[in-house]
Amino acid sequence: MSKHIYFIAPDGRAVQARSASSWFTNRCDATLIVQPATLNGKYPDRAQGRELHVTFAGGYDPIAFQLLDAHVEQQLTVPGGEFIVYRSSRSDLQGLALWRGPYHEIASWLPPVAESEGIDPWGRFSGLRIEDAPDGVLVTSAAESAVNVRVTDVSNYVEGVGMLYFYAPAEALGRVPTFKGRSVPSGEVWRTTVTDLDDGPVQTHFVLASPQSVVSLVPEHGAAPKYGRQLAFLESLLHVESNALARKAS
Amino acid sequence: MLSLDQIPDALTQPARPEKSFVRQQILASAFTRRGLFRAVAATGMAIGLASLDGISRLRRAEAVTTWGNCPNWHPLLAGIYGVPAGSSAYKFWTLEWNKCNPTHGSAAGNIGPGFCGSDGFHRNGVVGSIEYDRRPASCAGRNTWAWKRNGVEPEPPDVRCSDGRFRLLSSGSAWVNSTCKHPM
Repeated sequence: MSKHIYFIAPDGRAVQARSASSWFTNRCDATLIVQPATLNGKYPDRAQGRELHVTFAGGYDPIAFQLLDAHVEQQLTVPGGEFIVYRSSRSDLQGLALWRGPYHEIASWLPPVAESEGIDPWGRFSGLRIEDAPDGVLVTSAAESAVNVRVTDVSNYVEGVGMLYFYAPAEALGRVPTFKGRSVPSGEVWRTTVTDLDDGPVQTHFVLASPQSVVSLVPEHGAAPKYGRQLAFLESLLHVESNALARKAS
Repeated sequence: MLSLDQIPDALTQPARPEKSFVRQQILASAFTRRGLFRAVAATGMAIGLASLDGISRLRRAEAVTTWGNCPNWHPLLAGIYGVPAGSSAYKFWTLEWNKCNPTHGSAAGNIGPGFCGSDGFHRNGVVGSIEYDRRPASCAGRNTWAWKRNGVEPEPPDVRCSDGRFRLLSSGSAWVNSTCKHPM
């Protein structure tokens, strides 16, 4: 546990948070959408994209072996990492296409064998340039390709508190109310109740805005009704940031 | 020490609201001409896509998290063929698609009633050696979407899906997307 996290998001933004007490484990996940730079107008935009998931190297092994009962079907070593295709021994379970570097890995789900005819597992990573480093993996469009890479969320789990989702402030302005929130050392905070349906269960989430980041805190399941731990965490945060471009593709 | 009743509700404007200073700072830094160019260059997003997304986020904040009445996706796909990009019909169907296909197949295989909690939505919390997490905004900003019969054959049953993810605690695995799906 530490008082500080620092992580380079796949688009090169530095994501960091600093607190007065030790809350953090230095491990973040991210989700990416990769789309053709030119959309052809024949399909919904989203249907032309691929979703990729970033986590620490080896993070998907337990999923592949324990959950999917999978084996390594293909493995290809490339400069800077390796490609791995996992196939399940069960026909109803999906597989995984994985790029694994020394520090992080990027995963994409493959359909079950029966539905995977004509699907190229390597195609999930085509057009991408991947550079791995201890503090994050950078995913950009390869010079000769025409794809856009967009990071949809970067998250960090804080034990006993909940999930933190970091957004660049300009992209998350819609989450920040126009009226003043409660001042905390790192910015202003609001609460919001979330109902899944009109008659559904009510949950309380928190939005923390600073000039450098907008953070959603989704409390852990079973949080005390007064959210004492979550509020102590928010009050302890001294700085959050997810805006500055810290690294570019080499 | 901070308490819950000291935190303003994001959805209820106070009687005499003071402007958020942080919001002003974000606006000032992000939407100056130079900042805007920098943001667009950094993200490389298509302007049309960004504006649609921005509008939907501005409207919904985090209030309600279910998209109702998703159309049958087969006619949805049929409807998109031949529709010119940029037309209002195209934008409509694209938005519908984003609402009703939130994970774009990334939860393939991890879909079913086993991921549903007793409240009918994706599990949230620890069950045995698996930790579940409901994704609050994965579905174009909401968590849940409902497929409804729309009169087009073949009729799918009405179903409700709620997005989440899970990980195995025993081995400290990565988070994996999953979807709770069950008949309504």
